[in-house]
Amino acid sequence: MENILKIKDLTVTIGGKEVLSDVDLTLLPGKISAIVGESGSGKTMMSLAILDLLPDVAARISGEILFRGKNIFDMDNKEKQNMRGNSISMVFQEPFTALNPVMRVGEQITETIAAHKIISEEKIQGCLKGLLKMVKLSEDIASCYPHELSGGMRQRIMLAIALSCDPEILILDEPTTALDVSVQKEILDLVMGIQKERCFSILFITHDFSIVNMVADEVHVMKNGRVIEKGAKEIIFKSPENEYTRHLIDCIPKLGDERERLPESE
Amino acid sequence: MNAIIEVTDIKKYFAKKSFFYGAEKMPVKAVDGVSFTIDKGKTFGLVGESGSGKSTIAKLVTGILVPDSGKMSIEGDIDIVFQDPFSSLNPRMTIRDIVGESLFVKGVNREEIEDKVVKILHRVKMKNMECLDKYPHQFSGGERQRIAIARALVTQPDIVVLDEPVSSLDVSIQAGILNLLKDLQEELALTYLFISHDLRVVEFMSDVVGVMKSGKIVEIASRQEIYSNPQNEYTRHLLSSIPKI
Repeated sequence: MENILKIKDLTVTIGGKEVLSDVDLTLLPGKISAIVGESGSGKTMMSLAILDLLPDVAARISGEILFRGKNIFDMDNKEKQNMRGNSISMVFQEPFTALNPVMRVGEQITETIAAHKIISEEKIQGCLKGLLKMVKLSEDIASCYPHELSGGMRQRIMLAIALSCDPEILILDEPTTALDVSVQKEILDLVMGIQKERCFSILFITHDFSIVNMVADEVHVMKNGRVIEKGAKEIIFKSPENEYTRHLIDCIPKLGDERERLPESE
Repeated sequence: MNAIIEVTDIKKYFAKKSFFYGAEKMPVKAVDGVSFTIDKGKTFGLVGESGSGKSTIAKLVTGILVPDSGKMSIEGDIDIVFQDPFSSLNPRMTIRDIVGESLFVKGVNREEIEDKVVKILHRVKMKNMECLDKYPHQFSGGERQRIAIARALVTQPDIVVLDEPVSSLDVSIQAGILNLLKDLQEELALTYLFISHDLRVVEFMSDVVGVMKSGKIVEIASRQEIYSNPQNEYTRHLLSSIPKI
């Protein structure tokens, strides 16, 4: 199958320190690929690199990121602008800081649509209704401010914004880390449902292997800026080759856990 | 029985006032008739979604809030560890001052404070004593939570309330903190009230588990029973939301 996104030998440094080292990653159309790792492993740097949003202090030493065969580092600003949101969009971890606190959430959704498409106000309102329905929120939510909504509802709004321009790739950066486990399941079920319907690709970033098991087809395990293991989810779970991968799986308490202690790193 | 905490039918309602007209609306029943006991040296786990009243119970038990009605008997000193180690530690105080502050308030002399602070930091496995003169932002989330635990334990309490102590941490860091809490409980004969939204974590830590919903405890059972034989519909819902490995 032809890949939609391919990262080749990407090395990025910040202040002389390598934050990404020789990273290779392939994302296939309609598939969900997970990047798992602890904080500081380079997961978020990778997602920022894909949108060419790395901080100014970061320097790319080598490598390329090919979106539909085209290196994003060769694109001009207009092409990049067009790619962001339209082709690749992102949902961030903390929905409360990602949303504008003084703007009604409906406007935040329509603003995105208006920025990317030239269509009539009437059509924009139609899109808004469709998007709210898709993320299973009622229409009157549009007139609320972010602080009036629960964490789960805010993340649904973020999802509506990210999906407003029908992207081909959705990057989810720890989308449920700030949420309760029961709300987490609702949001993940929702994302998976929409993904199945619309068939876009997802790059799912998380520190939690139990979530990987729920959502992913492919898994990339990251440590200190390197991809140390990758493969199909079933294989990684059944027989992880890397000691560190096994550790990340084992350190999660399970229901009915008989263990008295959990394995610790180092 | 050797119950160290006995809570009987406590209630705490908050008046909900309309912002514009000051008209009183229905009160929010944050804690609505909750009873439980915790035996000495044991862990009582309280699990529920946000808004279920878990943190209000933590505040009632530690005396930060006063219940509207009901009875509480607590035998011994009690202290608390909060969820977010980023906001619960004063960013402008050094670790020495953060951990030693409650001893200072009690009028303990300087040398004794220093001695106790160093000892307790060792106990929570903050080995490098250079940390004493550093500030909270210089530490990782896991280290900050260790500092918060040290601060709670420095006064040698009998009971510690742990309000979502691991929910802002990575799962791998979480494992270390949970192990540490278990070790400390055994070494210091502590009694825990452990609060979390994650049933896996509560089950790992607790002897007895209470499931909370809308200000009420809907089910109390032993660690084994809550998992193998849940009686309440809501408990089953919480169990089903947990990702399987």
